[in-house]
Amino acid sequence: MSIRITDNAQYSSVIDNLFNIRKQYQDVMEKLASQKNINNISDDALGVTRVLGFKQTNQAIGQYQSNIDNTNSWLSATEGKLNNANDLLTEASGLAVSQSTGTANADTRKIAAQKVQAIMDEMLSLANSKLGDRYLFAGSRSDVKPFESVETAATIDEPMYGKANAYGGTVVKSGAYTGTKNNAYVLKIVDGGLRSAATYKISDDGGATWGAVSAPTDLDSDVDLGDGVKLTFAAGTFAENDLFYVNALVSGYYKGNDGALNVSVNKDSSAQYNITGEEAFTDKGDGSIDVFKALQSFKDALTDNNVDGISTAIGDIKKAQDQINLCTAKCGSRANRMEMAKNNLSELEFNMTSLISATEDADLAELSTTFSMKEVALKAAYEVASRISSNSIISFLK
Amino acid sequence: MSLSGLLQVSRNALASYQMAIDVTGGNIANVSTPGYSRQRPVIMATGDVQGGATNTQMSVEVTKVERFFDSYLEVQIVDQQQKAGYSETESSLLGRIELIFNETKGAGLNDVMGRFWGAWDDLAINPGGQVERDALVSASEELATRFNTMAADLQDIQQDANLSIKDTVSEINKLASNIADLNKTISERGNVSGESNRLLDERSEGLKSLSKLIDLNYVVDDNGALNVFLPNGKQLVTGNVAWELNFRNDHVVFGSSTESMDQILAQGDKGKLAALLNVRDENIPDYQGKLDDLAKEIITQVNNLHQEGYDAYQNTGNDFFVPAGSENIAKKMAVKSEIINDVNRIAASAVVSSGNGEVAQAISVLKDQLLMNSDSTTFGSYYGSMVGQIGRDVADANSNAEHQDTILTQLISHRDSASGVSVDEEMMNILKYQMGYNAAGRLCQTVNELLDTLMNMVK
Repeated sequence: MSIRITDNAQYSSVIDNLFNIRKQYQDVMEKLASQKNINNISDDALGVTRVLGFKQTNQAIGQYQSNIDNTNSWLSATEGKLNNANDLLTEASGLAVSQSTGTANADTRKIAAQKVQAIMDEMLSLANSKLGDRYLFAGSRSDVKPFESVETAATIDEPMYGKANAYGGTVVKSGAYTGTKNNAYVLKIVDGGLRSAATYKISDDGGATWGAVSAPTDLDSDVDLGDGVKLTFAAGTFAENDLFYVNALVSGYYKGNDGALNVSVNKDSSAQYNITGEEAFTDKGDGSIDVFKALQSFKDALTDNNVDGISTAIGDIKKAQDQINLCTAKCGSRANRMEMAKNNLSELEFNMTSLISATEDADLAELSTTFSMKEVALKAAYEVASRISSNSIISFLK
Repeated sequence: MSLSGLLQVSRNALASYQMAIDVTGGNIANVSTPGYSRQRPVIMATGDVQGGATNTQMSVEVTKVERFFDSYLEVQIVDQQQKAGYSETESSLLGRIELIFNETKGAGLNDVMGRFWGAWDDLAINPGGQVERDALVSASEELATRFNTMAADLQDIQQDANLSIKDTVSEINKLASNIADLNKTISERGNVSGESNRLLDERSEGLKSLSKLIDLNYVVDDNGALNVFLPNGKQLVTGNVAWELNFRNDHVVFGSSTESMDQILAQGDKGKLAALLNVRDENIPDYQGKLDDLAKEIITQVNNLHQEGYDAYQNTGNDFFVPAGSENIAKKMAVKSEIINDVNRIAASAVVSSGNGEVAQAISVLKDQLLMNSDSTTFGSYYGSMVGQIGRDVADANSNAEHQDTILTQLISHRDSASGVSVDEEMMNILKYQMGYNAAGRLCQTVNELLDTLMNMVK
């Protein structure tokens, strides 16, 4: 027996086919409009997961690139200031050479001393240079003016508190600073309570790492934060995380610290981008020469008409120049490192972008062809649908 | 054989063909009635012919009106309806979930997370910058809000599924009681001749609608009653009695029982109810759990590092995000209000000097660390594979729905082929019956003329 094709079946199959073709037509249209092969995550779940991974990488690359761009201005500003410092030292060196000869006398040396003061002022201002609102040479204390105009003895600053501290009593510092670098000493309360019950821990690196937790009642007597820094607490109630810290400074002109400023330049890789005032201008630097002290003794020698002192100054200024130039070189190599990192990133970014494109972008030529095919199919389906009722035995029965 | 007997024959023939045309007319009228099974008059010869002049002659009558119906095909269709009902519902619900996680247009959680980590990096470069701090707070709030809305959207869909379950249960009850009513009428009338055909069609349509909704088995008993069973053997319809399912405390229960049937009903992947239960109790909690895990880990890790850092007022030990609770973590994710109110509360520095941005940098580096899935994947790839999984679930549900629908369409076209109405065929039948009717009329006329002749003979 032949298969009976019933009217219902005929209509519903025409409708089904129309829907099918419309759906395919719609899909191709969506792909053409968005120019993407993946428009819903169910279109290609594996592809979506991969594209998301690529996009995460791309986003991170964009961030690393902007990090590097940010440090570029810092590095070039630093380099410029160091070059200026070098120029100033060259000028000072010229003065030293000319004033050490027999033709110079007390009067010329007095005039030269004025010039050296001007050089020192200039040097101070460039060592205190800012980029935006941050000091270039302050280390990680970049909110503090790094150099003073006069040399100071080793000091322990007044104690500072966390703003949210519960403790309201007075804290008094005492002791003489015996440390070898500018440093911040931090005391953090571990268990709160009355002074006799509270415990604390101490950090001698600004709060990055901590010593052991103290015993209760330790706060009742003076607390030794290390390197001669002592704090005395009045009676009162402490809360957990109450914070007290003291900046201690070695003698000299420098108020900043040796903190490195780092930035992420790639996955798992960060790079330092600052030169601290300590390494450029103080005797903790590679040349072991304090630039300001050298200029000051040069000036003193000129004022005092001290020829030996002037001769020593020639050597010191040379050392200072070497120290500054070394920093300039460091700056250059850091800039190079950034440049290389950036080039690597651009290459990676290009690869990622092509991968994303290969996974999710539509092949327009192929899509347009498919689109025309689907259009023809759709038209044919409409044609069929329009004729479905015209063919029936009824038309032939008179 | 008598002439009046012949008149009787022609009367029978006229009546039979008229009935045949009646039935055919009914078929034509129902050409597009869903579930209608075409009917055919069974025309049979009656009477006997024996030798001799006085014997009865042949006649005709419609003995019954037959319904074209393939009960084996019906079993398959009912089964297929269950599968199609399941996959159709699953695909449409998951399709809504897919929209929540649609990352293909960009601007999804993926991008927001990227901006969040980037903002920490920006702050690391300029730890004192108010602009960077503001930008970080707004990126963090955006991240939290995105988690909130995604979790809330998932919950909405779960709520909708829950309401749908309630509606579906009452629809099931209505259909079951319809079937019970029809059982009663059909058993009373007895399934003889054609009178119950319409009711049988109606009942079989009801069964198909019911099978779309719920996993069931059925059997037709000797009285012609259709008995429907649930997968655990509980009876939904027995003879003319229908039992009720109820929706109590968000669970489907049988009658007045309090024991939840959710698991039993969800097992077979058959029927709309199973799909709703599965999406409500399996898929959505799974996705929500993953989203919560991600939010929780981000909150915890960021807070851990943030607690180590110092804000611009040298406070330490503070959280950045409101610590995660035990449930609805993603939905409740929020930046601490202290930080929103005062961006200087962000602890970017690892030491008390505020130019240091090492904590901010450490937080931004969290994005590359393997912290999810027992420390085996990053946040990003965890989210990526989560989206991939949802995509796969949706794609599977879609292709399953398409597949089941194709099979169902084929089965229905088979059914149509056996039971459906073809106008062409019916028109031909009408021609045939009309011919018969005409011939019977002519017979009547002829007999009439014969009678005339007979009457004239005795005049």
